[in-house]
Amino acid sequence: MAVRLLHTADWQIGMKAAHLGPAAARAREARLETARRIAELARAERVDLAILAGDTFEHPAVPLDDVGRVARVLADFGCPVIVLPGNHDPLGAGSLWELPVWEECPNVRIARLESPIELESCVVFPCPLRNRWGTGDPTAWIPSGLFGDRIRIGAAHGAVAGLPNQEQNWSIPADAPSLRRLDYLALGDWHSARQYRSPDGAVRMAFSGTPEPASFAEDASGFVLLVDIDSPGAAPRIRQERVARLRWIREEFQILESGALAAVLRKLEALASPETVAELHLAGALYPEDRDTLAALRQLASRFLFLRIHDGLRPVLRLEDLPDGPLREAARRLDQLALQEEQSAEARLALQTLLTFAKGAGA
Amino acid sequence: MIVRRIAVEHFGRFLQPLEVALDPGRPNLLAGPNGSGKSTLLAALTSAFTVSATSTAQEIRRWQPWQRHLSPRVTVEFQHAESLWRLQKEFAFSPRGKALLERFEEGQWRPHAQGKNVEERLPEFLGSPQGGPGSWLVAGVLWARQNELAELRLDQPLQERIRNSLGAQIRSGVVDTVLREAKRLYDGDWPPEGRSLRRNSPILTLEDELNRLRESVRALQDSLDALENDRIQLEKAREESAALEVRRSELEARLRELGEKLRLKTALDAGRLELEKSIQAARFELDTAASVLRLRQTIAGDLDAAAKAVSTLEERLQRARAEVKSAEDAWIQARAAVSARAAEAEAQLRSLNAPPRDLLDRVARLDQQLRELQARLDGALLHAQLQLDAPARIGVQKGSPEGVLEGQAGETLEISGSPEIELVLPGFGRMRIWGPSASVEELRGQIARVRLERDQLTQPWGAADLNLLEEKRRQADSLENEAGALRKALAAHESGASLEAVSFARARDSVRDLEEQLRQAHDRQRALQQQKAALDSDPRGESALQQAKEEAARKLAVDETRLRELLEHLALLPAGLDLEKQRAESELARLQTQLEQARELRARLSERIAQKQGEGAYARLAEAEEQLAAKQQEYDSALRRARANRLLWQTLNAVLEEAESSILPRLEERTLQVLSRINGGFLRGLILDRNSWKPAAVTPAEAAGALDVSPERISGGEQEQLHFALRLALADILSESEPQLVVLDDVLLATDSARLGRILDLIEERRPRMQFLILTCHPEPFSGLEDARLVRLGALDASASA
Repeated sequence: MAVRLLHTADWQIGMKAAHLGPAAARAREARLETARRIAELARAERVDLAILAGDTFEHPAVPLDDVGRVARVLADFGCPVIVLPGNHDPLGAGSLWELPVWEECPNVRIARLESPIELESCVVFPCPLRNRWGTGDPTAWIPSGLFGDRIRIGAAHGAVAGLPNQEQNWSIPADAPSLRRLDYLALGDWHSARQYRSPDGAVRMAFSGTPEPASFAEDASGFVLLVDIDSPGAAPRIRQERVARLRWIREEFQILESGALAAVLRKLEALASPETVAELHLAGALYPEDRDTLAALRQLASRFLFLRIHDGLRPVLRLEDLPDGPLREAARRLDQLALQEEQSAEARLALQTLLTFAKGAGA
Repeated sequence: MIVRRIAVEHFGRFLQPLEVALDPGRPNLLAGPNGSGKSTLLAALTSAFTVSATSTAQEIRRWQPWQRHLSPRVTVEFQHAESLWRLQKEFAFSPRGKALLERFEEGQWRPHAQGKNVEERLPEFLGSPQGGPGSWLVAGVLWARQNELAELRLDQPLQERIRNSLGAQIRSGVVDTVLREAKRLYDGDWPPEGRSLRRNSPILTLEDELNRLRESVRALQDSLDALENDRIQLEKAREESAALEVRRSELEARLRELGEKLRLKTALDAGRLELEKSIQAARFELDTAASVLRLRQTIAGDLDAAAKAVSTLEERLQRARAEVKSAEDAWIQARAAVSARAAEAEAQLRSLNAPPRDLLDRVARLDQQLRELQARLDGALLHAQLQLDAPARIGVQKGSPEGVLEGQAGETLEISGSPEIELVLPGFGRMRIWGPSASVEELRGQIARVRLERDQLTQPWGAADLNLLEEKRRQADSLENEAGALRKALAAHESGASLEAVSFARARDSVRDLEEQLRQAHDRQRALQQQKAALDSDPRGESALQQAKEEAARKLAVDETRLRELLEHLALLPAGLDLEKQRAESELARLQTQLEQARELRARLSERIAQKQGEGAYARLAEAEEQLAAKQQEYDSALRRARANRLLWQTLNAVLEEAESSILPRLEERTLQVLSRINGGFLRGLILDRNSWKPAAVTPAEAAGALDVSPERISGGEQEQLHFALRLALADILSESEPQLVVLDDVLLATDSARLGRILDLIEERRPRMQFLILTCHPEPFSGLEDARLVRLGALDASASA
């Protein structure tokens, strides 16, 4: 008997986004909207089962309202939903998994125990977490000898052991699917989507990634995975579906010549959208004739949900534009200081101010 | 300041008033021979501005006319800041000195200050109001007195003014505009010293807001941490409760088990008691039957034995009683014998009448005393000894023995006496012997007293002889010892300690023992008789008794077997079940309490967690962190901008200060420029003293490399030109804002005509902004000055002196 599974994780509902300033609230709301879109997708794709592989919520103390809203979204999936407590929303006394709201969602099953969940189409082996931090293998309990004639699906939350760039919190062996004889292991914790091949060549373990990006560092977030397994032992067919509402963009520009900033402005204008979160890193030289362009760039912020410009431009100093004497000498000194890391930002700003005043005074 | 007129009276050689008018637009030459008063006029001008009217100093006293008690007077009309002023001073060398300052307003002179107030106003006209009364200021630079061209007198306020003047040149135009703007920005956040932000800087407000937000975030985070802590506590409480529940189940199971065992033990104990009773009864029955059978067999023999025992004891008792009587008699006899002998000894003692030992000692001492006295007496008497060859009759008339003494041949007669011996020797005559006879009578008296005392002592004892008395004492001692021993023996008899008494007591004890044994034998006999009577009362025959015995033995065996088995069962049960049950019950009670407490704790924690969840600390924290991040960014940006403004301001000021502080190099440069105009570039380097601004070193143009030499090593004329060039360079600076008077009193005497000509050119160039007054004995060299006004002092003086 085949099974179609919707694998998602790391919804991080209630996520703080202080670095987004006033856009943080909107970013948080966007995550709930994306959750609703996932529910629509689940219904549209007629999935047999949905697994939330941990970190549904950002923190054990997220507002109760948000918990209620998520419960209602999950109730709308139209299929059994297995929710795995992750390291951000672990099980434990007083946790939000004990709230009575979950009792009102008959299709939602909170995986509170390390115990197989038998469904019509498959058996799910959940690995719930009880703590924020840990070094053990949460999949260690999965018995390899049970339900051998059924499609066996695991759900775990943690890092894959031995792989680079992964913080080793709740370490899952890289060969867990074959160790535990799983047809598929749905993982959560890593926010970018990743897939791992088993020795038989099939991809049997994957991170779905967060459905709504949470930082600029994520290179493959904003997706859910639709996984089709035809029979026990068959290779899963995995499809990545984009569900994110917001777009996160990070751009770096090195300005080396006069007028180059205009191209940056044009590019940014094209990207401007109320659903875009952007970070712009400028390095290089600021020519006097480009100052207005820089000002225009700053004004673009109102057209983004959030725009942060890291201005590392160093004003180009043309000493001949200044009268010989104290102004030129002062500008020269400030220009030198701008090269020193310690006072670079202040010196650049001071120099810019000096040049602006000198221009205004008719120098 | 430009001077229009100088008038003096009673000043130096000028007894009569003298007035010199100066042209502000032309060089003024004041020429006159030596002693004509040129320098006096300059001194008057200088004194008017730099010496107090009430001064008594020598510098003004020297200008009092010789041998005249007159007060020098000076009047100076001058122009300053487009106003015309008149200064009048009368130097009285006392507080009576007068000073008056007037300004020409609306066609007349109006007083502006008098007395001390005039002195306080004067520095203002000399270039710097900061100079106090008496400051030379521009006069120290621009009015060069005779032979004092090198004596540059540069007051600090004037230095400052020159610096400011140069600074003003630096800070002009665009620089000034930029500086103003930079200051505006700077003042917005920084106080003058620029170390910390101004108290009302908006950045500090931002900082306060930031701190409040941080505090808020901290508090919210603490609240969340407390919530997390509560969760951990609740988890822990649940685990502990679960563990307690497990323990309670175990305890309850244990208690049930203990209860079972205790009930079993109770039952076994009851069985044991029953069996023991049964065994006891069986034993009793067995013993009874056995003993009856046995007794019936043995009772007769026992009775005979008992009778024999009684008889034997009676015989022994009788013997013992006889022994007691003889022992008693022996004791009585012994006691009587001792008593009689003791009485006899006492009687003997009494009859002996022996003196006590101490009396014998006294008698012995008296005897000794007598012997000694006798010896002394013998020593005190006269002695005569007659050894007879034939029988004789000697008559002793005086002496002892007195009378007729008869003696045979070969006999010795001894006569003694005192105080003399008188003998009648028949056929011979009388012999009289005398000698010293000391104390004889006294000695005789003593001897008599001692004898009397002795007699008194010995008389009661019936003998005077000491030996007899001592013999009596010895006998008495022996009798006393014997009497003592007899008394002890009697006491022993009385107390029962004597041999006879002890034997008597033992015999009595023996009788008592035998009586007791006899009593016991009688008791036993009676008991046996009773037993027999009891045995005779049991109707059962031998066989019946034997059967009863066997039955009892059988029952006993069964019961003993059952008891053994029961005891084995009991041994299997552990000891102290009761105590263990009690402990288990106590522990269960404690556990119930702990469970209740844990339940209450869980309820409290759950309630607290629910309440904190409801407070929405997380959402508020998220919001606060967002606000904090935004505020931090705003603050960082504002602070960065403020620091940038400060950096800009400080950089501008540093650059300007450096420019302005480089006044000396500028002055050096200007001086060299002027000097080059005079001497064609003889020097290519000049270093002014940093404090006095006087030339400190020069570098000749011909020197290779840097070579700083003292100005004194150049020629006198070149020195003169150097000092002149410096003063002219300073005059250039001082006259930038206002025309100034330059006075040269015979200062270029060593300069050659060619260079003097160039100097005149320099003077000409400066006419628009400098008023020159040249005092000289030789006006001819200055004829190159165009349109110079020549005043011959001698002519003036002649009229003045008239």
